[in-house]
Amino acid sequence: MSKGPFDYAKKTSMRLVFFLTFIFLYAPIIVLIIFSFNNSRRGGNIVWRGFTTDYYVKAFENESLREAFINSIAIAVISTVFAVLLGAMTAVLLWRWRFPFKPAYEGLVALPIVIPEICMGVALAVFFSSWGLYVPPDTPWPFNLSNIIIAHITFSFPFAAMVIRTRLQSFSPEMAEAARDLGASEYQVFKDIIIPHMKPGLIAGGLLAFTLSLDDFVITFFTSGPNTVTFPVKVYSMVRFSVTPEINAASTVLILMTLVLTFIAIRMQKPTDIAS
Amino acid sequence: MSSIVSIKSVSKRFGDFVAVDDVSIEIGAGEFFALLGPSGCGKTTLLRMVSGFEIPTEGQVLIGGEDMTRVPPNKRPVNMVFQSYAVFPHMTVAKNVAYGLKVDGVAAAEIGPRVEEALSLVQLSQFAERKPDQLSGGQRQRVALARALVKKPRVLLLDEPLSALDAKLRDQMRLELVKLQQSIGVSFIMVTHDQDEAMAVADRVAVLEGGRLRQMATPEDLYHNPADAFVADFIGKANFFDPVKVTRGDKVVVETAELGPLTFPSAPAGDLRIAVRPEKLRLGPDAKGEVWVRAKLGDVAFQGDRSSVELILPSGRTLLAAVHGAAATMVGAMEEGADIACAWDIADMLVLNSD
Repeated sequence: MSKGPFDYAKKTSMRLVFFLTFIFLYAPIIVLIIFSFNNSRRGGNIVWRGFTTDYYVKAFENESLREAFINSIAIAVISTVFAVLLGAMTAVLLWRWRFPFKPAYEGLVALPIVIPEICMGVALAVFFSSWGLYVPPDTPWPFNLSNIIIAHITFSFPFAAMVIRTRLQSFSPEMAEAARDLGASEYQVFKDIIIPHMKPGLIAGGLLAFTLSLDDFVITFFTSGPNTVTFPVKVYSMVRFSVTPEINAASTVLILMTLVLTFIAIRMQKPTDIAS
Repeated sequence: MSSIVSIKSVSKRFGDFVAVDDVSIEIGAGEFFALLGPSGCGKTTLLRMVSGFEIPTEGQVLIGGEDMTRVPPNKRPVNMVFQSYAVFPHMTVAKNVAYGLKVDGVAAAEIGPRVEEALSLVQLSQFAERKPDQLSGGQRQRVALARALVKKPRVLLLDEPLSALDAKLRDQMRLELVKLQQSIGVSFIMVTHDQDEAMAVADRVAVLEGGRLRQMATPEDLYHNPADAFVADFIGKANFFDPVKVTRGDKVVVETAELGPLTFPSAPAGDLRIAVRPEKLRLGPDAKGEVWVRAKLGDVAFQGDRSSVELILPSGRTLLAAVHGAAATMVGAMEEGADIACAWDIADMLVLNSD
């Protein structure tokens, strides 16, 4: 019998590789979710001691954890909005216009993607303190988070810009000319033709910025204060004492939230938009 | 004939490259006009200067008697069907057609009926709510047509409108374009590199080459009275002969290696080429004419109503003949390589400038 193109997938060795890959990818997450229901006492969340949902309640009732969680969400939402706006503007600038030193500018915009996060964190911390941009402790929420938000916008907007730029590359200039020919002004062409074309890129860029912001630890650690703790920073400080199912429960909620958001984002990009 | 578009001594240079070189064209109201030429001849640049996407380096473009040379494309009473159709993918067919009216601020109550009218004109009424990716290439082109025509332009510009369609659909759309143009009476300016297409649809054709206007005439005139050797070669088929000696006197004697000296009543100035169209050649044992050559029969391509015949002259070069009726039957019965006589008249020959 001749071999079909997918026959290699029937080999035992291949199946083993598939299986192990899957295990390495998802086993930690699955274990994390399972152990969020573990009825363990003090002394570590390692041995299974029966099912309970108590720790979800406990995590929810833990005021500082809840506060950190809400901070993280607020920072992610606000920084995503600005990152997408800035990213879109940068992408359009790089796509539409020619100007001196454009390659240098393009490189500089992409630089935060490759600079080690630790350096970005130190640089931002030094920047905020040397410019006297510290936030007074009694600043009302969410303005007390502004340093973290600024830091998050700084590192996430280049990612959004890259994604949107890639999308713009597939725009046919004849579309814009057709709209012009039908009587549209430059602004109307941008609003009615170019922005709808950018939409999948805006959503993808936004999603990227949101998840980057939500789970950032290093840069946030350097720019947060005692009153502005985010979820990853809080989890880190809790883990230093002991790993309780409470952390697992909170993490599970976070995973669920990102999954739901991703699902919504994919649904928002209709199949027709993806195809074109 | 009042002209709706006047192109007056227009030139367009991109750096050192001359895309359009001092072209003047007058296009009449209700005329179907074709800009024809090989790629890079400047025909698309010329069309883009009428639509407003390019501004001439020199010269003027008048539309409806008004100077539009520097008016942006969104303020011109012309609309264009793009080569790629450029139908907006995120809008339905109806929204695509309505777009031009919407940006013009036409009242919503008026937009609906006008969109319907435009869609029925191109027989797309039942597709109004479809998205472009659910349409075939031909249907998308109709959307592009309806979208342009709904604005009631003074002139419709078409950039290679049929090049993206398959052969059968192309022939069908050619006829439909002509019918459409006749029924609405709007001037059409079409750019094409396909001489058959230009000849089939246009009232008048401008042949461009290297940015210059070679000839502007009706299709019949272009074929029978080409202005120069380029046009004769580009429009239809022709057998060319290069002279070895030209003697100009009262009459002009042109001597070629294959045909010997031939006397013509007159000839244009400059270097000459003489030519004869394939259908002017008479074949067979009793073929008679002022010019007579002996040849061997090459390939015969049967094309139904006529046959294309290749003739090999003693010098080795080939002539092309097109025969029908009894001559076609006779040639069809002959063996390849058989001797055959070929004749034609001097009056059927073209004496052309070859600069």
